[in-house]
Amino acid sequence: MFKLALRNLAAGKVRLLLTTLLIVIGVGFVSSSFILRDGLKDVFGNLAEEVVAGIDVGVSAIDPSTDPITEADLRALDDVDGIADAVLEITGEGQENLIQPIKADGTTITLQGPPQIAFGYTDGVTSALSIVEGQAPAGPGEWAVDPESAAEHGFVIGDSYDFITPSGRQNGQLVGTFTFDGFVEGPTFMSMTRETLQDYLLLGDRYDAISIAADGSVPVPELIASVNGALNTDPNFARVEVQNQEELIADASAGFNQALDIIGGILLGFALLSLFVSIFIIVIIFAITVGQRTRELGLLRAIGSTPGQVLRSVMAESFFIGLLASILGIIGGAIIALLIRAVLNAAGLGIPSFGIVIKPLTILVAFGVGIGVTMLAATFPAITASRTSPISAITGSSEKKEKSIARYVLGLIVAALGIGLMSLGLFGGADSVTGVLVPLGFGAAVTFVGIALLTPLIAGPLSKTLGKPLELIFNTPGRLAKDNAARNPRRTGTIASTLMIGLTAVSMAFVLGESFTAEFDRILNTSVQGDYLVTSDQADIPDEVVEKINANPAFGNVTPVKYWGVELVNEPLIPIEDNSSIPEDAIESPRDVGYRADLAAFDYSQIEGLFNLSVIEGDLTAMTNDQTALRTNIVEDLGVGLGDTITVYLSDGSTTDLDIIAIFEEPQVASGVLVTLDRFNDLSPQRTSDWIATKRADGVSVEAADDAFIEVGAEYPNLAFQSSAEFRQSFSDQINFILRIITILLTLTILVSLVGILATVALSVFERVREIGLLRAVGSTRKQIFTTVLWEGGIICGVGAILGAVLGIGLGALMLSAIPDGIINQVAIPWISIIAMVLISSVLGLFAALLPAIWASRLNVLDAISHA
Amino acid sequence: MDQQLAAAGTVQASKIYGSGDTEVRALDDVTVSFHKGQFTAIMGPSGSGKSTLMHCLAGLDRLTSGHVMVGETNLGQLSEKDLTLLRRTKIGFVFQAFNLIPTLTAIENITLPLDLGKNSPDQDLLNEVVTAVGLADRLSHKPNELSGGQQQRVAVARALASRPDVIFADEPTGNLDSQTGAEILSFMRRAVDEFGQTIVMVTHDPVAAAYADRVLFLADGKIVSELIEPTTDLILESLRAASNG
Repeated sequence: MFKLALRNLAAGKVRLLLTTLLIVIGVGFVSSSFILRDGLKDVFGNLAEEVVAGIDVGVSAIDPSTDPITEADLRALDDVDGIADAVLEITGEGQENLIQPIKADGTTITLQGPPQIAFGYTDGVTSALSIVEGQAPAGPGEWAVDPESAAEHGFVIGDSYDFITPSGRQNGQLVGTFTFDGFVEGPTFMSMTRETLQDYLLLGDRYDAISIAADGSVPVPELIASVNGALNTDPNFARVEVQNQEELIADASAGFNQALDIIGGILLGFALLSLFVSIFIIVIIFAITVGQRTRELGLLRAIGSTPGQVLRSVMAESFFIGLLASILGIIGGAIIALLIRAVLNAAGLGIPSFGIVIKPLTILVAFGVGIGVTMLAATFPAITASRTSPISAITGSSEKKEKSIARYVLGLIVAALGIGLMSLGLFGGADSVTGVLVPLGFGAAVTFVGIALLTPLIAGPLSKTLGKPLELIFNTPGRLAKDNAARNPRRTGTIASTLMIGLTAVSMAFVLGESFTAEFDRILNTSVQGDYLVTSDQADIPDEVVEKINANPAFGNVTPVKYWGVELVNEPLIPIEDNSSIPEDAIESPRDVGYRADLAAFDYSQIEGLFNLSVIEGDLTAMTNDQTALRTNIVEDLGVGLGDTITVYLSDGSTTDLDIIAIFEEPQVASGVLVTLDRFNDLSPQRTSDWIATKRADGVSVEAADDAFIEVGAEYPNLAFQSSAEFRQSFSDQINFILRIITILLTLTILVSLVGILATVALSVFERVREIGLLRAVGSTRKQIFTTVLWEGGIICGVGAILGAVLGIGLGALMLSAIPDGIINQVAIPWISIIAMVLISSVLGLFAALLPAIWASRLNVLDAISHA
Repeated sequence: MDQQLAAAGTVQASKIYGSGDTEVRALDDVTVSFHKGQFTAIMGPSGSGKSTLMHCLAGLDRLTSGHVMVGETNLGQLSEKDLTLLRRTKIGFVFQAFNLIPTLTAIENITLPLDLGKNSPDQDLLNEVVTAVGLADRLSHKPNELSGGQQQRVAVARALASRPDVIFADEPTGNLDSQTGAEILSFMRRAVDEFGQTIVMVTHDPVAAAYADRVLFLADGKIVSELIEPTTDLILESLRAASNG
């Protein structure tokens, strides 16, 4: 039977080509997520390896904030034997983007891309650094940069540049360029003297680590033991960690690896979606081809093949397709990985170049997925094939009208099950992201299968409705296109549902994006009344910005806005730390276990005209340091009221009591618990503002205020100084950016559906060769045949796109309803975008049908009529 | 040439497949003419060239050399598109099977050639044809709801509805039982007698051929004999003669 399976493969070239193509795309996408991840892991692994190549032993503080590494630790190593060199380090780890150079044109390097990393300059055996041009930084403020970044951002050796640093604005001369072993392009690497960095980063006398090179006289494990002995003097308390080279490498790459696992996971998710879509299409392709081969299968049965043999021959055929496609898919995966890098780099993400690494796991997954998916998809058609009766060899009839009731009942049950699963994820009160996403994703997949089973019910009537205008425009060819699309509702429905899946995801993303933008607009319209806002993506906003605005006569009221998370506990007090010891049945209300809320601070004397917090009781404008204002939901949760006292636990474990002087409703801007700026500064380690709002002073023209605001902003190129309208625009720009990325990633899924449409239309043409011949014989022109086939594809796409849009809007609304009202409480539907998407997909459907349409129109009339 | 007006015909028509040793002369210098209002049957063994002759006459295939005329038109000079339009307006078809488009109703199948040309059918003629074909109550049925004989009657009605210069029928009764086949043949006979329709029919069946006014016998791509006013016996005799000769 294997021989027969291979013969069939060779015979059905078109089927083979299309099925293989689908699996190759799916497997390629899956492998690319692994190849990209492994390749980048290697790059960063090599980087880590080469950076620490000269270091045999590394010392770092276990609690850097309370017990850091200092010069005293280096001196304590003087008596340890076996050390060739020991150097104090400032690694810049965890302090990315804190030091930002200002380019000659007055701008900073964007924070959206790769990080800006500054570390202390060292030389000697432990150092991987080497100067390329100029000199090593030696004096205060002197710095060096990597040559790639120097070229990209126009830094010139000998010139002085300003820096934005945690200690304020600094200035330093660029004295040279440097590189290091394991250098990767992308990030901006800067090096300065360690003293300069301690100064800039407000580190005092702290260092991050000590790097030790062994002289070889003592084995490394022994050296580690004696370093431990010298630094961890209290045997009961370890204050430093001493690691060998392997541990240093693992530590250094851990962060990268985690990030890469996340990126790889996201890509894998999209890849699995496109594979999921492929399954539907392959089922259809196999089903059609099994139908076409009924006579042949019947003959096999007539001459004595058992149903099992027929089943195995179809399954074997699918196995070979899966095998072939998996091999091609791995190669395709390498190409897709490079393409993904190119696309993401074009979007400004700065992913370094990497070598193609194909790990055994990648191969295993590729083969598993490729062969598994193909055989899974072939199972049902194979069972149908095995049931072919021997008599079909003579009659050749394959058109069996199956009772569809069972299918629809099954579809309803499966869809209900899927929606139930999704609801469980959304409303089941799961406390982890995984707890929400796993049932949600799985539920969505199950729902799609259910809906795919149901689509034939809708596909027929919907095709006819969509085809109506075509009949008016194209007359008989339009009429035939409509009828052909509606002819086999199951096939049309299934293929349409593949497009539906992609479009559901896109339109759901559109609905979510539009709703968040609309909600954001609403907040800006109702809660935020200020004319100008200072915001920042990542950098902190120093308090001096408030003073500068205050000092400018162009502006009226101004207030910073600060946020910090706290644990609230009202009487009776049960410490949060003891949560785990409280028996579950003793927990009756949130206050028993501590209540988590966000602390926020404004300058309440200035709030008039800047924010409308919808105060419903009391007055907060004269708030003192021992007072607070609470949002209504917190008042309800805690069972307190105006004049009561609440106890606030801070993250360091201390508590403070606050009197409630006002209750407000505003859900977004104000967080839950309001305190004064002074109190906030006492309670939170954060010294900077999250944002600042101000307004135009009375009697100042809009132009003058705009100019004044831009002037203040010029000193802070890393902050966004925007009018509230600009701020709104930048928010919707961000949402649109995310939507674009999602749409790009979903394009592959939609591409797979289009291949499916091409395949289905082509196979439908195969089935109807004789019919096309008849049409040609009685006077259809080639153009008319072309029109008929082309629009059949267009209608199928239209059906899928409309179903997808409807489903996406529904799912988007469902997800929005699961998000607490405090975050978002409206559903906004971007009709124009969604309608445009439906139209674009239908046009793409026409393109997919182009090839089969050309082919059908070029059929030789005589051959077609006599086609068996 | 005959004195009567020709609806279609060939002059020195040859059709050669392959070349050299594998050369097959499907038609070998055939000159023939089909008169207006006449029912002609073409007979001959498999491979005699009767189907090729019909395909070339109907503009489905092209000659290697010679001419095909339908009405006043020389088919050899027509483009692919003009051939298609000629088939739509001047020629009617009845095939052995798969005559109808399954998604269209009986009446839609009948008017298909007219609809393709966006011509409104001649309603009187249509009524006449539909009545004659005896399907007035089944016009809104899809082909799979009609019997084999009814399907063939719809096919004949379609061929008649556009009033073509000539109808070509390729074994129109080949898939039918003899009773139903007889009905179709009588109907075609009536179309010739009552509407003055020209019909050319390829058949194996001497009984079917006996409905014709004239029978042409082909062998090896040549017309070997001809019978006027044939009967089944005469036809059988001619066939026997042809196979012995």
